Order: sequence, then structure tokens, then C-alpha cells
Amino acid sequence: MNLPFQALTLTATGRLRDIRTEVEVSLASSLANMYGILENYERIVALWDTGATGTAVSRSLADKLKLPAIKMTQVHGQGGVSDSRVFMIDVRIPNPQVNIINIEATEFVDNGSFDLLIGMDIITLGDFSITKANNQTVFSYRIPSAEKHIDYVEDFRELNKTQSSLNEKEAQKIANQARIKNFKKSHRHKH
Amino acid sequence: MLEKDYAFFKLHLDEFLKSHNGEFVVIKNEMTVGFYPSQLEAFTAMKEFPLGSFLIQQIVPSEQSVIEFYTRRVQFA
Repeated sequence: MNLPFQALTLTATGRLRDIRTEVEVSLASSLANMYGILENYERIVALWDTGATGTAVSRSLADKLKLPAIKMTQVHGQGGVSDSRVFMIDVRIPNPQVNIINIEATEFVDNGSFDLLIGMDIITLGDFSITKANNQTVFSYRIPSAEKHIDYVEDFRELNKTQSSLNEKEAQKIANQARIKNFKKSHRHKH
Repeated sequence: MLEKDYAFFKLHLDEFLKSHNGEFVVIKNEMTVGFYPSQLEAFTAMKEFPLGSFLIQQIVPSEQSVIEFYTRRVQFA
């Protein structure tokens, strides 16, 4: 499937403790269309969490959107193992707009902090990076993935290669200068 | 109600696995409505019923079923 290129970037000064973005959530439009339900988007705060295998919505958001459960599944969280309702949702992330459709999301008890936990199911749909150049934390996300990977080890190797090549050139230059000096010296003696 | 349907599914999973491994089962009011090769086909077959009044579960051995893990302090159920 050819996905259109979509991306978002978030910049913060200093160190960012967690990644939160404003998003809009609704019942998946595929289901809304099939069952003749009017789509209703709610704008809420989402937390991006690489420690979550899947996406989850708060109970109050599920209630507000009247999300119907499509199935149930087992969840392992801090409180142990439990069964959770699963909803099918669409997520719109402005800045500029990124649309993620047909996401199966479990349900968590409200914590007053965020209403959507964005898990690895969404994160791994594309590329996700956190960089900290010039003391600014920049979070960026794109779908689909770029054609090239970010590889810091490769960067390190490249830097070392350049450095050793420079060192080699420097050593060569010093050796050449010494040779010239010796040549001049021996010529001076002959005269 | 859905909790009861889910309990029904778990109770009958071994039986479903014998002839419908990998398929999707629709359960409503603790009864099997039908088996479908895909989730989409199951949704299409249930268009006459309100969403949320039935469950569509994939029939896979429990060790292969999708289990979600959360490390953050969010509480489930």
C-alpha cells in the first residue's frame, strides 16, 4: 500500500521528559461508514510510549465518543493481568496533519493526565526519532518510513574513517617536509 | 454482556481451534453467530446489528493471541 507522506515535528528547549501531542480521536471511519454512524472527533492529549505494545484510550474518552467494543483481549500492566475491551479508532495528529486509521486500542482507567497512549503499533508504522542538537529536544515522526535508516554507529565509523584519513595525510605531509629538508641539507653540503 | 461473550469464547476456544483455526468467530449473547475468514467479512455479516452488541474474536491458540503489554503506570480495568 502506498501511503501518502505525512510527518510531524515537536521542538522543546532543554530536556524533554516525555512526548505529548494534541491529537483527535474518533471511531474508525471504516466502521462508522459501514454501520451508518456519524463520526465525532475529540481533541485530547496523547502520550507517545515505546513501553506500550499497543495503543490504549482512557475510559472517559471511550465513553465520550461512545466507542463500541469490537473484541476483548488480555492486557499486562502495572496492576497485573486483566481483560480489556478493544475499540477500533482513527487518530488525527495536527502539525501538519497525520492520519492513522483502523487502530485497535485497549482501554485504561482515567489518570487525569492523558487520554490516549500511543504505543508501538502506531510508532512502528513509520520512523520515530528524538534528537537533541543545540540543547533542543526535537521529536519527529513520519509515515511511511524513509528509504534510509538513522544509524549513529555508521556515523561514528564515517567520522573515524575521515579522521584517520586526515591523520594519514598529515603524517604524509610531515614526512614530505622532512624529506625536502634533508634533501636541501645534503645539497648544501655538496656545494 | 461482552464480558460474558468473552468468557464464552475462552471456554470454547479449544473446540473452535479444531475446525476454524485462524478464522474469526462472531459471538453474541453467549452464542456463536458464525465463522468468517476475515475480520472485515465478519463486520459485513453483522451490519444489521449495532456495533458493541457482539464480539469478533480471532481463533488462534491462546499462546499466539495478541496480548498487550504496558510498562507505564496506567491501570486497566
